Amino acid sequence: MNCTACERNLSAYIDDQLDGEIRRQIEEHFDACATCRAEYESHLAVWEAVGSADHSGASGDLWSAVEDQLGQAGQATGIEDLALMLRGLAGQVQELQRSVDEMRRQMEEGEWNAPQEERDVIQIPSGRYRAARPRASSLEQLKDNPLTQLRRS
Amino acid sequence: MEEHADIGLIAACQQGDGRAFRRVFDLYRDRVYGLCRHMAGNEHDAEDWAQESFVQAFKGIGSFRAEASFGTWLYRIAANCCLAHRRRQRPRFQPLDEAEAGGGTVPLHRQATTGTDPERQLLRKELVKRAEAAVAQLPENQRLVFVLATQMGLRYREIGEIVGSSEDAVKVRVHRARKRVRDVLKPYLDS
Repeated sequence: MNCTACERNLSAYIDDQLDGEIRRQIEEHFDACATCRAEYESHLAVWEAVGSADHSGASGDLWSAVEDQLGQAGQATGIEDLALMLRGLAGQVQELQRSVDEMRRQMEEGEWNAPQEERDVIQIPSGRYRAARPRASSLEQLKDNPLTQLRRS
Repeated sequence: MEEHADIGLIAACQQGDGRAFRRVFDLYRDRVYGLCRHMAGNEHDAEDWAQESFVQAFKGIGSFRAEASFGTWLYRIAANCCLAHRRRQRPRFQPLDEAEAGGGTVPLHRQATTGTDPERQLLRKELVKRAEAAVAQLPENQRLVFVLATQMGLRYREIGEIVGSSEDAVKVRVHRARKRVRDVLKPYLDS
């Protein structure tokens, strides 16, 4: 730990933001370097002065003021947000259902042709469990359960 | 240890439960007000800014997601509220040179000749007032992180999430703020 590193970490040391090892190195540096030690002590004095500022808390009227501004709109806002979320989710489910229906239709009509990215999903795994080619029964299972084809590797 | 809002309480707020709103307010009132107080420099503005922060948070609570902690999310709203107000208004603090009561640069703690406790308390109050004025003179981005670190006691990582900076950037900014405040108070501090 040199003076530059010590200075760079000084505030973090004062604010107790450092882990044990760096703290130890800084403290060892303070023992060896009077300049850095003096710098630390002057900062500590400031921190103690600023930290002594003891403001009174919020007034007892703060909640009333918040409640007044929210009023009935506060509760309605919450319900409106929930309704928006449900509508958004419903829209996404409908879109997903349309995609699945379209894929089923294409497979049934033999038009299914997975894009390159989706072909990559049905990969022949490498390694000692690698098959020479996918078995027909495996492909049949995949066709019957199109959701397995939506997973990305 | 400070208490935090759990996910069930937040969910109740998102469904418009008024009692949940009150509970969340009670949990965070002092911390949000404390932040606003340090940023505003006076109690009147602090009350207004804290009120505005809570109203914004409760109105937008439907958009809260669990990626960050609720406290971080709330402090970010309060911090942005404070910064927006600060940019719109002129600072109301009393500049240090106008606060001079005579005595030049003689350390405050040495001005009392008798050293009685009430006098020392008065001098300490004066030092605290000067420290607050020094903090009030910091650039807004330094003041915010300095307050969050030294007054709110938040971790630098969380402060980074609030202000949108890296932990290292927060560390540098806090240190620069600390140095500026120290340099202003140096004539009045006992080495």
